Amino acid sequence: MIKYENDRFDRIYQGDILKNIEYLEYIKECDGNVEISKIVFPYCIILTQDCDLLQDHNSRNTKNKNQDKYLISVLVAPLYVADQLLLGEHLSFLEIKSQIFEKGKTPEKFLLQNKNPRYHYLNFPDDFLNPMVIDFKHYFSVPIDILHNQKNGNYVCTVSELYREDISQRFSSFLSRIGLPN
Amino acid sequence: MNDPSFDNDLEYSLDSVTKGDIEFRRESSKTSIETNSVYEVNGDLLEKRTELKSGIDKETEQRYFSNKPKRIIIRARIIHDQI
Repeated sequence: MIKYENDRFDRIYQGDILKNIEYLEYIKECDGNVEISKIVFPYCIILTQDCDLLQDHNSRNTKNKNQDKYLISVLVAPLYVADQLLLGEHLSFLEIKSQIFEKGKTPEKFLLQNKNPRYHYLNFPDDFLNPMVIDFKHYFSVPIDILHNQKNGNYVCTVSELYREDISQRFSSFLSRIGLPN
Repeated sequence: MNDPSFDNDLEYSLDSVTKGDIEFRRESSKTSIETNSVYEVNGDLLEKRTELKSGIDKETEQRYFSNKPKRIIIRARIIHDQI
């Protein structure tokens, strides 16, 4: 069970959970027609280090000689509803079938105990949200200006610090893993 | 706004849609749930909201069908002003 706060509106924080975050897949133009494809993720968590986010915020709100601390984009990872992910159905609207975690079997237990490096299981107190799973493999970036504009309307909560560090440490570990040949 | 020539009937077939005019995505018919979609009809962008169909209670709908990522495709024609 994690802890969370839901009163941090003043800036983007590491551990913020935001809803309806859009990922732009492509924009193409052909014969005067423009096609834009995007994926809307119902929930995402901010992974960028909080010190970077704080420095960006402070830099934008004070007159500095340079914009050295400005961020261009923010790393996020999607949260999927745990029940849907365990069934391998969480990306069905994108026509993607995923691994099925059979109930009671070892892969499911490992996922729920956060022993699978790819996933991070989040259980919220008081049914604030359905149990969710972060999929570190699906991380992407969002321009920080867009997040600033969306923060007030899309803010859900912020994972409290100790649990946030756990997520951050596991994400960095996932990114830095070394693939060895079979 | 033009009235799209189809309704929420799950028997609706993609074959009846003019290719390129409408982007329509949904869950397979066995789930009895339609996804959100945005589609274009004669230049108007319309949005179809998720429809809860009979036989699925709210809890099941929330647990298994809501809050999934969705793809939205927007098509637009560039119109040049004539000089």
